[in-house]
Amino acid sequence: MNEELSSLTILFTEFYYWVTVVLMFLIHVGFCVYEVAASRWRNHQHTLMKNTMLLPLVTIAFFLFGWWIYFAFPGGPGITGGLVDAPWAKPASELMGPHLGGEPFQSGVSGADTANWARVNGVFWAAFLLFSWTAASIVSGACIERIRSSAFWILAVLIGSVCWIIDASWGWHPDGWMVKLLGYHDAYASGVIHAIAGGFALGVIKVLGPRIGKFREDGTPCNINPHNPWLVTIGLFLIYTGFWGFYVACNLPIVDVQPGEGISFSATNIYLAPTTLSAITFNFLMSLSGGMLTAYILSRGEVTWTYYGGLAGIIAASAGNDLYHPIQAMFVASVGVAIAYKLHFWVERKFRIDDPVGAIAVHGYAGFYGVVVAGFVLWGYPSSPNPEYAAISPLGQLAGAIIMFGVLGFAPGYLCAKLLSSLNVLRIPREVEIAGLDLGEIEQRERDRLELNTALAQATVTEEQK
Amino acid sequence: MNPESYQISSDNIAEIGAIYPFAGSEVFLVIAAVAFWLFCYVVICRRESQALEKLAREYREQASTEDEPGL
Repeated sequence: MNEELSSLTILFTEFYYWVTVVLMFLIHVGFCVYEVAASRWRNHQHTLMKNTMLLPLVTIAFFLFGWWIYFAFPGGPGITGGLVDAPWAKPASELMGPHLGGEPFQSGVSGADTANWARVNGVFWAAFLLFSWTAASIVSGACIERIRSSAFWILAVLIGSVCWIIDASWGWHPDGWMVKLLGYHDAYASGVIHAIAGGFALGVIKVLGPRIGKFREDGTPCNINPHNPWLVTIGLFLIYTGFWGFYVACNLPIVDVQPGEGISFSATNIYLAPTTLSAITFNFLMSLSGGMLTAYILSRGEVTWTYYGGLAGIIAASAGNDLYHPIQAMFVASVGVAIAYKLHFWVERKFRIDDPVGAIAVHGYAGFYGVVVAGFVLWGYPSSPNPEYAAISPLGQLAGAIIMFGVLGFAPGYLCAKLLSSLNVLRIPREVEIAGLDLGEIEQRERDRLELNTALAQATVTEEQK
Repeated sequence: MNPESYQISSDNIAEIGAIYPFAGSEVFLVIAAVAFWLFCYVVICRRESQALEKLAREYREQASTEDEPGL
C-alpha cells in the first residue's frame, strides 16, 4: 500500500509540474506580445528576437549549471554551510535525462536518488527554468529599443541562470540560509523573482541610459506611447493567465506533512509548510482586483497602467499569499500598487530613468514592498515548518528585500552593464537607434515587394501577348 | 544502456534506469553542449556587430548625401 501511495504521489507530482510548465509558457508569450506592442514600429523585429532568443541561451545555461546552483548553494556557501552535494542536478548526471528510476550506474548517484528524482527531475527543472525566463524577460522589457541583443543575452544568462537561482537557493530552498537565519518568507516570489529582476533591470538601464528623445533638455520626460496599447493588454492578459502556472509551480502538490507517525497529505508551499490551492486562488484573484482598481483610479483609467496594476497587485501580495486572508491580500496589493505607481514617475523625473514598460515599478518596487510588508502582517509566524528556524519579522524581511533587490539584483546588473559599456558593446549605435533597428529588414522587404510586382507585371504582359 | 537491456519483461521493470543511448558518455555530451552554446553565442554576437556597423555606416552615408547642397 505504501509503495502504491508513493508511486501515485510521484506520478501526480510529475504531471502537476508538467502542467505548470505549459501554463507558464504563456507568460513568455505575453512578454513577447506586450514588448513588441510597447515598442515603435521600426524596432518590432529586434524587440521580438531579443526576447525570444533568451529562451535557448538561458535554457542551455540552466541545464549546464543553473539547476545545480539551486541545490548546492543553500548554505551560502560559507554562511551556514558549504556546497551541498546534489548528484541529480549535475549536468552529467544520469538523472538529467530519461530515466525510469532503477539502479544507478554512475558512482555518486544512489538508489534513493534515482527513486526520488528520476520522474520529477525534468519537470521540476523546467518549472524553475520558466522562472528563469520570466526573470530575464522582465529585464528585457526595460531595455527595449536601445540595447544590443548580444549584450542583453549575456545579462539574461546572468540573471536567469545565476543571480535568481542563487537567491532561490538562499531564500526559497527549505534549508536556505536566509530562511534559517532571517526567517525570510516569500511564498510566491515577490522578492525571489520580481524584486531581483526589477533591481537588476534598474542597474542595467542606469548604465544604458534613456532612449533618444525620452527626456527634454530641461530633464522632463516625454511620453513615448506604445504603438499598440490593445496588444499590450493582450500580452498582459496572457501573463495573468501564465501567472496561475507560476503560482501553482511555487507549491508542492502532495506531501505527507504529518510529523512522526501517521500520514496526512497536503499541498505545501515551497518551504514544505501545508497550504491549499484554494488559499492561493482566493488571494491571487483578490490581490489582482485590489491592484487593478487602485491603478485604474490613480492613472485615471489609463489602459496599460490598469493592467500593470493587476500584475503589480499580485506581486505585492505574493510573499505572504499562502497565509493572508483574501481581503488582507487585496489591501496589501492596493497599497503596493499605489507605491509602485508613484515611485515609477518620481524615479523617472528625479533620476532620468527610462523604463518603457514599467518593469522596475511593477516587479521591482512592488516586489520589494511585498517582501517587507509580509514581515509586518505575518510578524511571528513560522517562516518554515522547521521550529529551529527564525520566525518571520520586519527586520528579516527588510534584510531579505535588500539582498534580493540590491545585492543580487541591482549590483550585478549595474556591474555587468558597466563592463559591457566599457567594451562599447552595450548600446546600439546612435544612428541606428534614430533610424530604427528594423530599417534594414524593412528596406529589404520593400525591395522584395518591388521585385515581385515587376515580375507579376512582366508575367501579365507576356500572358496578354500570347 | 544497451538497446538489448531496454527489452521490458515482467521481472525487470523496476531495474530499468537510464534509457538514453550511449549511457556513460554524459561528460562528453556536456562538453559538446558547452562548446555548441559558446559557438552559437559567438556567431550571433559577431553577426549582430557586423549588421549594426553596416547599418550605421549606411545611415551616415545617407545623411551626408542628403546634406550635400544641390542633391
